[in-house]
Amino acid sequence: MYPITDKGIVPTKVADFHSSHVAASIRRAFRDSRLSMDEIDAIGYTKGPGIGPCLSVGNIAARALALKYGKPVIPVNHSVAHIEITKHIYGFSDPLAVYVSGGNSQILGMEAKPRHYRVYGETLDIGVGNMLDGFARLAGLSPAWGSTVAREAEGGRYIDMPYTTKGMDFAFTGLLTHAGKMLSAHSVRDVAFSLQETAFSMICEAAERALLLTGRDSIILSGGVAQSARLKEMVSSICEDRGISFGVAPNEYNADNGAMIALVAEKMLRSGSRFDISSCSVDQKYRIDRVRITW
Amino acid sequence: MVELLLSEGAEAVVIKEKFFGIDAALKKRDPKRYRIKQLDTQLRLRRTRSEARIMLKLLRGGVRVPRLLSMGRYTILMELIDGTRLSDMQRGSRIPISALRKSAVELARMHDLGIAHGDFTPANIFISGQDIFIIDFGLSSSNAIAEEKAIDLLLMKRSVKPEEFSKFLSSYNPSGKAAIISKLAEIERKGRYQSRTIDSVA
Repeated sequence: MYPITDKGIVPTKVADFHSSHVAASIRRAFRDSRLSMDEIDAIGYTKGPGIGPCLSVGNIAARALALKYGKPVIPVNHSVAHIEITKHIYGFSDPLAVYVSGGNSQILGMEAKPRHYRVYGETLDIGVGNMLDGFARLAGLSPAWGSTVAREAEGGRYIDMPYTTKGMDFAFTGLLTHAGKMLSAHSVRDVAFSLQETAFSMICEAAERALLLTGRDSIILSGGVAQSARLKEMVSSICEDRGISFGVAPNEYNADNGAMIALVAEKMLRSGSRFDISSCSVDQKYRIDRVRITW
Repeated sequence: MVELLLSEGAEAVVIKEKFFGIDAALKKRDPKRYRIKQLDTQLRLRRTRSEARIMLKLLRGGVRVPRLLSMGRYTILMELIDGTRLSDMQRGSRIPISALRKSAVELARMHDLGIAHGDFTPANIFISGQDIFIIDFGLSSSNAIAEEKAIDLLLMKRSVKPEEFSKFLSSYNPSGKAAIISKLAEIERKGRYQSRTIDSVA
C-alpha cells in the first residue's frame, strides 16, 4: 500500500505508485488465489468515483488485460461496490445504506423502475472523511486522517459545535471552520471529540429519518469512515432501538479493496451486462444514482 | 394511560392527549441514545423552543396551523386537527385542486412572514372540511432566505404530479416570487435534483 506519511496523500504520486505496482499486484493475486487466466471470466475495474490519475491506472491495466486475453471488461461504480460487499456478507436484501467515505457521505436505498440506488440524503459540501482529515491537518495531528482524530478524541469533553442538518441532507464545512477556530481556546482533545460527535450525530439523524420514511428492516454502514468504532456503535444503537438488523463489514472491506469490485463485476456479468471496450472510461464524479442495477 | 401514537418522526413523536376534556396532540422529543447527553439535550431543547416560537408567529400572522395549548421543555401540546393528510388523499384519489390552491396560499403567507417550512410535503398538509392546516415545524427556519423558500417548493414539486404543481404554483404569490422561482431552477440544476439518465447497458 502507498505509504501514508504525516500530511496525507499526493494524488499524482499515488498514481505513480499504482502504475509501478499494478503488475506485481495482479501477479500476486493470481499466486494467492491459485487461479490461472483461463479461469477468469471477465476483468472488472473501478470506473469512479475516485482520484482521476489513480482510476486511469486501473482502467489501463484492465483494458490491456482484456485485449491481451480476449476477456470482457466491466466498469464498476466504487460506491455500489462498498454497499454490495456489505450486503453480500450479511445477506440483507434491501437495507438502508449509510455510505461514508472521504469524498462521499450518502444515505441510500434501492428503488425500482429502473433498479438503481436512490440518494435520500447526502452531504451538501464535503465528505465526512475529508472533513476529519482536514481537521487533523488544522490540529497538526499526524498521520492526518480520521483514525488519528478518533484516538485524539478519547476522553474529550463536549463543547458547542454547529449542527447542520437539512431534512435528510447535512453539511460539514461550517463545522470544520468552527472547529478550526475553537483550537485557539480549547484543547485538541475536546475539539476533536466535539467535532466527531457532532458530525456522526448529523449522519445518524439523517439515516434515522430516511429509515422511517422508507420503512426498511435493516441498515448497513459502509465506506472508509465505516471503520470508525464510534460511528459503528451509534448506527448500531439506532438499529437496536428500532428492532432492526445492522451490518458493517470487517475493516478490510471498508478500506478500498479489489474484492468488492470483483464481486460487483461478477454480478454485472452474470446478469448479462456487456460493455464495448472503447466505451470503458473513467469518471471521477461517477454518481451512484446513475448506475443501473441489473441483478 | 394508553398512549395513542399519531405519528412518529426521526426526532419526535406525536401522541393523542386530552387537555381539559378536548382532544389534543402532544409532540415530544425523546432522547436519542446515539447522541451524547449534552448534545442531545441541547438539540431537543433548542428545537422545541424554535418550533413553538415559529408556530406562534404563524398563528399571529394568520397562517392556518394548529393552535398552541401548552409547552414543556421537550414537549409542545397543540390542538388536534381532525382531518386527512394530503398524502393519504394522493393514495386514494387525486388531490382536489382547491386544496392545492389553498396550500399554496398558506405557503405564500408563511414565506411572507419570513418562515420556510423545511419539510413542505403533502404529508404535512391536512384537509379538515373546507380548511387547510399546515403542521410540523420541526425543520422550519425564521428569517428564511430565498433558497430555503425554494426548497419548500422543490419538495412539493417532487411530491405531486406536474399538472398539480403548476396549479399549486399559480396560487403561490408571495413577495419576491420571481427570485424564489429562479432559485428553484438553480437548485434543480445541481446535485441529485438534476434529472439524470441512468446508464444504459449494451
